[in-house]
Order: sequence, then C-alpha cells, then structure tokens
Amino acid sequence: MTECVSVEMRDALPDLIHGSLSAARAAEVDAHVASCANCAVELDLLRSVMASAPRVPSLDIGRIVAAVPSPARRGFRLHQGGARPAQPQRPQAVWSRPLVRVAATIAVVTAGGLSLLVGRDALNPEQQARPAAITVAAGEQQAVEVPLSPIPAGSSVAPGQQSARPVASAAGLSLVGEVQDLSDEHLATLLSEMDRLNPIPGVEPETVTPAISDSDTSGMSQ
Amino acid sequence: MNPLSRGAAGDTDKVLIERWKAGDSRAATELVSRHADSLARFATSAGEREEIEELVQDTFVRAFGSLDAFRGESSLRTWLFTIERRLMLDRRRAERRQHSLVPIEASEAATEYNALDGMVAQETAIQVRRAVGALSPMQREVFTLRVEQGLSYKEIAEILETTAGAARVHYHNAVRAVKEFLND
Repeated sequence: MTECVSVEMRDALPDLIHGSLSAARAAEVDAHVASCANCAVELDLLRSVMASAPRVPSLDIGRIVAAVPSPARRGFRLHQGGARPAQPQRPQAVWSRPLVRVAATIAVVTAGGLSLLVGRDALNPEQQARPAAITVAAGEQQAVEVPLSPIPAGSSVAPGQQSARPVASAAGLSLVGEVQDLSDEHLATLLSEMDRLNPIPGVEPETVTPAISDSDTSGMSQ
Repeated sequence: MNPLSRGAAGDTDKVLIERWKAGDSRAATELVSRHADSLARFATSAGEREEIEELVQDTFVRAFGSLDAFRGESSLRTWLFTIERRLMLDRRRAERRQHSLVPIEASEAATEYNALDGMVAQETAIQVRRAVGALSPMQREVFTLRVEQGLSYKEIAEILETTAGAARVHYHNAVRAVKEFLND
C-alpha cells in the first residue's frame, strides 16, 4: 500500500479525529484528505481503530474516590490562601530528643573508655615486659629468638629435629604480637626455616637399593 | 466521554488539584470522573483483561498520594498514564514471577482478541483489533495512545520514557504494520 509523502499531514490525522486541531489547521488537513486517496484510506483506518476500541467495564467512580487519600491524610495544611503541602505528621523519634541524645553520648564514651582500661589490664605484665620467645635455629650459624605465644617458650626447634608431624608441633607457635612487629630479618629467617620443614610426610616409601658386592653375586651365577 | 467527566465549572485539572489540596473532596470526584475512562481504555488496549477497575483505582491512589510531587510540567492525564503503565508493568512482572509466564508474543496477542467476538459486532472491527494486537508491545502502546487517546508524540514519549522522535517512528511503523495485516 502506498503512503502519502506528506508525513506532516499523516501526523495530523489522529488529531483531526480527536478534534484537537485549530479550525484553520483542521480545514487545511480536511482539504488535503479530500485530494489524497492514501490519506483518506488512512483516516478511515484510524476511525475504524477508534470505533473498534475495546469496551471498558463500567467503573465505580465512588469506590475509586473513596480509596483516594484525603488531603488531610496527605498532610496538606488547609488555609484560605490556597493549599501548601505541610510536613507529614510523624511520631517524634526517640533519638531526636535532646536529653536522650546527651545520655546516649555519655554512655558511648563511658563504655569505650572502660573497654580500653579492661583490655589494657588484661595483658600479662610479664608479657608486656618480655614476650615469650622461641628460638628458631637458623641454619648452623645462629639462632634467632622470635617473640611467640607462651606455650613453647624457651623451646627450640632445629631442622634436624623435625618430628614426624611437624605441622602439629608447629601449631602451637602462635605469635603474641602481630606479624608486623617482627623485623624483616626475623621474618626472613622464620620463613626460610618454615620452608625447610616438610609438613606433609611422603607417602611413597623411598626405594631402598641394597648394596650387593661382587662376592655375593659370584655364587648366584653358578 | 463520560458525562461526568467535566466539572460543573469546567475547571482545569490544575485548578481541581488546588481545590483538592484545599480540602474540597468534590474536586477528587471530578478528577477521577474526568480521567478514569481513559485510563481504563488504555489498560484494556494494552492487553489488561482483569481487574481493570482495581488498576485504575491504584493509579489514582498513587497519584493523589504523591500529588505534591506533581510539578505540572506535563498534563495530569500524561502523568496518570505514566503511573498506570508502571503499575501494569509491575503487575505483569509479578504474574511472570508467580506463574513463570512467558511474555505474550505478538502472534498470541492477536488470538486474544477472539474473546472480543461478543463485544465487537463487525468482522472488520475484529480484524482491526487483531491487527493492533499483532503489533509489538511498544508499537501497540504508541499506536493506541496516539489514535485512541489522541496524545501528542511528546506526551507519549513522557509516558513511555522515550523520545518524541522515537514515538513518531513507532507510530508510523505501526500504521504500516496494521495496513499490511489487513491487506494480507
């Protein structure tokens, strides 16, 4: 189906149906439609669409209006000079009361101070003076004392004295201080020693090659 | 148009809104009477079949509940259509979640109008509704808002959250598609 080249006129057709054009514009469009078969067909089509619009159920206007919130509930203040939106009436929050705010501030500060004091007193004075230490043998040259938890205090672990379950024995080596408390040198030493440990024993038995001398084999060849 | 759709004084929507804010409950009645049918027609054309009145009511409840947010930059009718369309989208999303419904395809939408046989007497009208139902959702919304509601492209763009140029393109594509459907 061909279409009118004047998109402007085609755009005006729905407005012509709804009567929303000015009188002069409506007359102009009417004149065009009278001389344009394509627009006349399209106008008929649009009228058919309008006529075939699905019927809407009858609405209960009163029921809808009853459900609409009233201006008072919406918080609009009523006055003679017109309506202005008023602040909605909300119950005052407990925290917005000045006395409660002051009391809450005091409580927070007190609780924070007490927790600091308790935390400081809980530390062992001996540990504060000299933290427990474990001596880790760093190779054969020197031993490094590393601050650790009290459990293995004074014990020493050497590479040649690894137990069958080195992980289990090392589990007690919890640091009292943070890792960042150690110097770079201590950390490097500790890591190198940890690398030497074999935390997972090999499950494959080592191949044993018995030493056989020539004298042992001489009899077998016979 | 509903005979009650015009207020006795012929007040504009803006005046009625101000009257309602000032406590005149009759203004609400006039506003609802003026726009309820258009909202119901739009919902029906958009494919809503059930609880049309509830949808229209929810639209007005939401609109009146936030009238202080209505700045009057667009017409009240455009704003109401926008609210109603969002409610329809919410409703469809909820239905899809509940029933795992597949969105209605255009070909299926066309067959929906078989239910209109009892409502629309003429075969031509049925064919027209089928043609409209076969449009894509966006084309159908633009087409019905333009033809059945007489909204401008600018108003349609506001409702559908698109541009007036895009609405215009959708409209002309829809007209072409309806013509082709009817000629097949």
